[in-house]
Amino acid sequence: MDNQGRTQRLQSNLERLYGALSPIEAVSSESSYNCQAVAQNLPLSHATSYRNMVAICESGSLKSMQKLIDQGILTHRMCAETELGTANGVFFYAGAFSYPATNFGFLFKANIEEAHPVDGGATPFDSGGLVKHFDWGTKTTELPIEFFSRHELPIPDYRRYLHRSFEVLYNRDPWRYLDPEDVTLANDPVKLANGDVRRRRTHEVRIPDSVLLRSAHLVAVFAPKNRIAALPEVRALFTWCRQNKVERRSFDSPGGDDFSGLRSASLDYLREKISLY
Amino acid sequence: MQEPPLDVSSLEIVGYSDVLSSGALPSIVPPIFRRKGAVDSVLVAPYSFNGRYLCDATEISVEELESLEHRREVTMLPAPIDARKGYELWVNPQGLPQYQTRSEARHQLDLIASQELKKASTAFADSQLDEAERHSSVALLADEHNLEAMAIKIAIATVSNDSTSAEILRELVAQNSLNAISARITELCNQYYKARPVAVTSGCHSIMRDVAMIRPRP
Repeated sequence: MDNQGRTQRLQSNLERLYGALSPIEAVSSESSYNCQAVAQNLPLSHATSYRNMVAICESGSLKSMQKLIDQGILTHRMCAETELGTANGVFFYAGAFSYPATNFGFLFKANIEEAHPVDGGATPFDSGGLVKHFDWGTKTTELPIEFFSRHELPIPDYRRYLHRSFEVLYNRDPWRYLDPEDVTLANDPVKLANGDVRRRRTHEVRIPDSVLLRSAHLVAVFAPKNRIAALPEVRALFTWCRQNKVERRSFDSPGGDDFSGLRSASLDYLREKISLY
Repeated sequence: MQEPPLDVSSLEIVGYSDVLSSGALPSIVPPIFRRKGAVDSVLVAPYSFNGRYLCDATEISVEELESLEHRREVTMLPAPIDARKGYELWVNPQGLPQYQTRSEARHQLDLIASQELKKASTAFADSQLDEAERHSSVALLADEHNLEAMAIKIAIATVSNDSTSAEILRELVAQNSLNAISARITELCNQYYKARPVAVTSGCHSIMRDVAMIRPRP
């Protein structure tokens, strides 16, 4: 499909999904968050393992799987990204770190999306979960890539849908999106079931090819305390962050479970920030 | 989907979440569990333990696990290990996974931290800062709350005139602990300058003033 056809499909998906939420009246909420501002400004998160963190620090960029394959760093193989045609994307979540089994994380400003209205994309779920993780009503007759195609949204316009989701699905409380409970959402037009609720509810954003790490878009870096102290690559990045006024968050990792600390630290950060929007 | 509690004795460990090079060892690692006899899915962190039960684990498919391995996010064990209640999986400095009771694992890690700390102290006293840095790193990886190893690291950054690094290290230490090790950092700095005399305007009395007071060697 050419760029124009893809752009039309994504726009059409956005109008359909947005329209499915629009007629529904949200009940009153005690939430004091400015939903529109939160939706527009929610940072993009990317979490990774120690080994990839070192590679990112050394190369100075987050690279797509396709780029890593092209550079001979990874070998080509079938996986969710190749099945869905997303191997050229660098993956982010709009919100907290939600991918299990990760140890380090980066948050980027929302406006990093603005340079990619044509070649970027978003989905109101973790797209990789469509392959052997989530269920949906038409799964027996609809391939993951078909479901993906029906729900792929343009960036940054998907944030309109995210805003409407806060209003309608989450009772005007973005926190219910950021730290979701595993309950059925009334009026959810996506209707995914099973799988990890964090990945089922998060909006995923894909930016093509690579993303520069040390840039004005980077807003915060997260790492376990003892690894900042012990690993020169990580400490060098924290040094750069300090010199460039990028926020640094560290956390303990009792029992080696870095992910719990990573996620908690990102939720703490977001709790502080979204109340200011 | 978060799984209902599972008896640990019904599980085996097939890998762990992380890929570690020698510079990041030793490390306690979160195991990747699999139901014995199951081939389709595995259970990954975050999770918790309640007695002999694994609770709130996240289930992912074997295809996703393979994808994670391909993307260098997880490490697979050469052969599964039977999971056991109260055991800890950790990777030793040689890169070999160890599966021991929590107290045995803690004892081994404390032993490594103690040995590496001794080497770091000796290296620092001999003004071998790279060696001291390396050994104190291993000590901290073995024991994340090892304040003496952190004191050596801050002292290394201070005597190297790397004030940003010293500040970043200080930020990692709780204020009450930092107060507790300030004198030790000062002592280490003075020990270093005594061994390698440099122009010092008025000694090394306060950790917050170290950098300002010590003139770099020409």
